[in-house]
Amino acid sequence: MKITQKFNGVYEIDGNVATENLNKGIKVYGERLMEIEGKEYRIWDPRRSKLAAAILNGLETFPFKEDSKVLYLGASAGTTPSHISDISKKGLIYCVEFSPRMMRKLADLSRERKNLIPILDNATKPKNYMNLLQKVDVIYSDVAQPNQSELFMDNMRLYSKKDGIGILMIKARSIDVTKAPNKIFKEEESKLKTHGFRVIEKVKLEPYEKDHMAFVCEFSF
Amino acid sequence: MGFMLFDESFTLIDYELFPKRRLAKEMIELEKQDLTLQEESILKRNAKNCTSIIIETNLNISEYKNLKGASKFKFETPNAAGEFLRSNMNKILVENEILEPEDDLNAILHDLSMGIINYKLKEASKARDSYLIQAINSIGDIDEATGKLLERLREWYTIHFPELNKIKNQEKYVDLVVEYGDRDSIIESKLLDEMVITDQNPGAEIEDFDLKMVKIFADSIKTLQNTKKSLTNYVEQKMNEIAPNLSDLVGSLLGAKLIAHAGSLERLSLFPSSTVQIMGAEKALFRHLKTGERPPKHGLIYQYPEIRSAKWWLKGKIARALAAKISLAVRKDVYSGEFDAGIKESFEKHLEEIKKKYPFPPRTKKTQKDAKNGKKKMKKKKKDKYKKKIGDYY
Repeated sequence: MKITQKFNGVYEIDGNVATENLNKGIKVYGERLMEIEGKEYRIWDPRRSKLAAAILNGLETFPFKEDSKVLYLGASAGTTPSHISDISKKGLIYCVEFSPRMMRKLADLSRERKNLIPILDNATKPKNYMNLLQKVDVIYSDVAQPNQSELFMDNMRLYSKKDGIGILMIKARSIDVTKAPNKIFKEEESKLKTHGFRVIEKVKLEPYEKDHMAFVCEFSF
Repeated sequence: MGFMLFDESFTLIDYELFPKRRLAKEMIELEKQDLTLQEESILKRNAKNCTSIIIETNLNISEYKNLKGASKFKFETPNAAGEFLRSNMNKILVENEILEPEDDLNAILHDLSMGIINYKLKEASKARDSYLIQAINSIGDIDEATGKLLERLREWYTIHFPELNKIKNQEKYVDLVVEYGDRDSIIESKLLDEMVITDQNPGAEIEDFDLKMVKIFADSIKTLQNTKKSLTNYVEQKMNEIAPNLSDLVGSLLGAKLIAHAGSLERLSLFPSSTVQIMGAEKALFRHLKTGERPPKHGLIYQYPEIRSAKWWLKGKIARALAAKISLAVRKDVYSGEFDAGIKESFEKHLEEIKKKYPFPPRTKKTQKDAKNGKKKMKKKKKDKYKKKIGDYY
């Protein structure tokens, strides 16, 4: 079994991506656990998590460090946040999720992982959770909403440090089902550019997710 | 955590903290749009010394009007001091000895957010209709399951007693199997007088050992059917309690289904009636948006007997009228809660009018032509697609 470090905290095992398990022996969403040289790794499923899909499709900028502060919009049940909490062990991950049903699972998860901070609020109204947040290094947005890039930019402006990096997962189908995905990606990209962001990288998530694109951006000035 | 006051050069002038033990509670108070004691006192204390105070807040500005020195308050969210605090939170807290060095800010924040989340989750599940939605969904599940099980039971029991398949009433069929078991005792019970039973027995013999298993299986179906009955009763009562107008108009079961589909009564009341009309027909709607096929006339509403039994050229019209009345009824339920029999009456009146106005199907040549043209166009499109695909391969 070959293990290579892909990014800080992210490993590649036999073509799978994996992170070192923060809570030994505990699975979060039924993923495979692997023990290599005394360390336990959780295999990161690209079909469940778009970030893993992006990594497998050749994502180059990976802003998560061991002590990063992260704002995660659209945390859902905590599949991806759990892996980020593996990577940013000493950091802090603010997970914003609006649905109480998903939040119940996320709250269970955060009880075990001390670096997750669950916030039950609407990501389209970033001012609502202002009194809980600090400025963050990374903003990760995976909200399937028609105005997902607008809310992402709002959150970037409010909570990102000046050199902060934002990762935006665009789901073309939830912006407009009738339009061609490629056209939507172009539109969203120009939206980001006109509002003062620079797109560092874009990665398509095929074949793991259909009609999805990952944008990595930062402030352009 | 509390409130902090900075001057122009971002040095901390004054602060007022929430007591540590009640941190989560106070934060919830803050979110409820109430002015907290701590904020009041810090503003009062400093209003004299400052020329102006810029407040970063999520509360309504009117909350601050009754305080002393309100004329000095300015509001800016977010403001520069807040930005400064958020950028250097840990540093500021440690420097001003609010946070002892051994305290871990991350851990405090984690505990705080857990407290808030627990409270909010409790609040979220308090809604009056969450039990109702589960109940109506479980009725759907039970229907699906019993359908499958009944099919199996019939197939199983037919080996022994094929003629019994003539009984179309599912409940009676199950009852007979559970009560009497084998063929001879069912015939003896004389409940089957309408059926002609020949002396020649086409079914196979069944041993007690085999029969026992079939009976147990049938019994569990019966239990499910009984559960469904009591669930239906429950939904009826609950609907009368929380949505009397809606259940009067469309019946409690259909009403509950609409609520479940929308997510809650309140959300249903916010939908426009055009959405209500095609709720449950999302697939057809998106097909319409995508390919330009004709839009759906009705979704869940189709289960309303007047629509189902209506003539085809009236279905859409009635559905539209009913959807409008449903919106009306739901809004009445949510925002006043009073029962109003007039909604159903006016709908029935409208229904009669529609029927009177359009007694015959529309038979203009134009519409028929259009329909034909539309079909032709669709066919052409499909052919084009096919051609393209072949072109890709060769």
